[in-house]
Amino acid sequence: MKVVLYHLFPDLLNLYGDFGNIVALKHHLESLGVEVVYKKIFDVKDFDKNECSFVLIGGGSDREQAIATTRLKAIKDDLQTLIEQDLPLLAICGGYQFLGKEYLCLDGKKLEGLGIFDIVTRASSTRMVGNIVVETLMGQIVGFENHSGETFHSYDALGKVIVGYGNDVTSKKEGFMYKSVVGTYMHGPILPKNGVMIKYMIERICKYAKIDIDLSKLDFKMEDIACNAMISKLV
Amino acid sequence: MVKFIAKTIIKLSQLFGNDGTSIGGKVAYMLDKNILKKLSKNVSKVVVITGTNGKTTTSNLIAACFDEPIVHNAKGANMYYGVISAFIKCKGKVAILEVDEGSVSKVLNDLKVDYFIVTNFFRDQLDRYSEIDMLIDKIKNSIQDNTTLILNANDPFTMRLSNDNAKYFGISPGFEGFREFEVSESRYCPKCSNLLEYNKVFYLQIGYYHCDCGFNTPDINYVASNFANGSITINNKKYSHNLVGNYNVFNLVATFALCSEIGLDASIGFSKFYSEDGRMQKINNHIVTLAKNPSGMNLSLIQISEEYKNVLFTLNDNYVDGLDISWIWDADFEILTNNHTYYVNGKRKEDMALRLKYAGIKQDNIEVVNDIDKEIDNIIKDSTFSISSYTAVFEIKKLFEERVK
Repeated sequence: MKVVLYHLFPDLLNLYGDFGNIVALKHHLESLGVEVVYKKIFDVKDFDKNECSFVLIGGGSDREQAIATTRLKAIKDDLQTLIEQDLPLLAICGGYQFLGKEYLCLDGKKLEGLGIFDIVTRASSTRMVGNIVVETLMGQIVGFENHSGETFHSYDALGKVIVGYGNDVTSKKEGFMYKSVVGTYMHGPILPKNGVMIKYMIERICKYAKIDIDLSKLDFKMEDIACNAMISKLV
Repeated sequence: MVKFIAKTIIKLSQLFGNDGTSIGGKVAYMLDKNILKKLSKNVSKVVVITGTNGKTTTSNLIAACFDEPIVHNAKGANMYYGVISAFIKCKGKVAILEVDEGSVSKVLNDLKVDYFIVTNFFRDQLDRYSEIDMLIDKIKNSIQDNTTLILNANDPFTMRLSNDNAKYFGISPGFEGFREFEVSESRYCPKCSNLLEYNKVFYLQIGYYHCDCGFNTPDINYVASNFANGSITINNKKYSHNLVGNYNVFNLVATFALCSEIGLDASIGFSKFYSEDGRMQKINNHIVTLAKNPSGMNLSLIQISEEYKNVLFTLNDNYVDGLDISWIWDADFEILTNNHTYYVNGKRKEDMALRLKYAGIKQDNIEVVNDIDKEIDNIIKDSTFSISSYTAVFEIKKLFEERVK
């Protein structure tokens, strides 16, 4: 039982503790007896589509985001195919934005995204910063958002915003879901203290890697304490 | 007149138990928008120190090198109003000012700066500063023509500010005492975006780098080759000091660089200066220190030796700490061992406990502190290494000073 977690360009895209998501997945997968290999992908030629069981794309500064997008173009088709085959992928903040078609800057300039999804982001004059609580199908989750882009799409949202902004200033929707892909503005990072999200991701990863395992052994006691401590402060 | 009113307000505010460090500046500014321009006309030399880590220690070290009265924001009130307050409260011909990275451009708008020292740029409270690239560009645009820059040559981020008026400080390639950490900041060339090549990495992006486009570690004017408790070697000469914590090598050599540029003897300040502000401060057999970002945390974590039985983490998420605590996930807590008892305290103690759990600390070794005032006596029965976020460090330091016998 082995899974391989890919972290795309962690040297460019790791703005808000995104690495914590890997830490959380690794810890809990190992607690179930699954062997975890963590690979940092610095160069697209190291991306092995037959090997990876999960992909994390984090957020970076504008400069770093632009470098990353140019490089990712080389494996865009592979990514698209894998996504259709249910590859679990978690994209945070800038990573979420550039899975989409474009990012419209305030000055009217258009930054091209990877274009895997029909998602458009427009720069806003409001900076959406702060703690965020979202009601998802799995349960309430908590994190932190910090973005000035407003993201629009017609896919399913990750959840409904209880506290904070989410995708944009008005819709009260946060993130997006398509097959086993989750895009979100929530960092903090999103996984470590949201047991329900860890469980969701692990379920998808195991299914994709064809590992049949009992998830009821996952222990989220400390995670729940940290999550509830924040939710009770905010809601 | 404005100065008099502001001074009175500072005094009144202090009467009510506040330290009054920035309120006086704010009031003065409200009464006169040009107050900083006017007040700074009376000084002949202005030194500004900024950067992510080390600016407080460096500016206090520099201040200790002066025998004459100076204008100085000793208490770390380092935003715009804090700088005004320093000019209101202090008299002197020289101003030594620590300035928050986010406030640099506003301060430099009103203040003619003779020497501008930059310690480093790391990922810090991004919810306040937006992204680091934008921050550095903004600072670069505000630098004045006649200012002498004194820059950390080992930091490629800082080196983006370089111009013909720059002097450089740093450490020698053979310097030992840092541990190379897993997580790195951007290691891409700020000029051409290619991967920077490193001959030597000290920690994160700090080291000896070069790029085909010509962006390189420059020849360093002031270079430290050795740091030990009690001594430092700069440009092949040994000096004594009283600082603990290897990262202080940069603060000392930055101070040395400034002193040499203006013709002061740094060794006097080095021997006079003790940390009393909760930054690697020794209180009997305990250490009290501050960490507010991954790089600072990593540099503190490597100092936790087996002699400390307890480790106390106090993590707050007040505005000045940064509302966003996700940076704790970028720090390398994985180097910690199960040979200590870890106490977690502060507004985000649950997140801190969870971070330790994921770093491999057994849950039996993690104690959640509910009332530090009651529990501190028990904790400090054994030698303790305390690391606090910004808003907690003063309180924790006071608590240690009061309760340690």
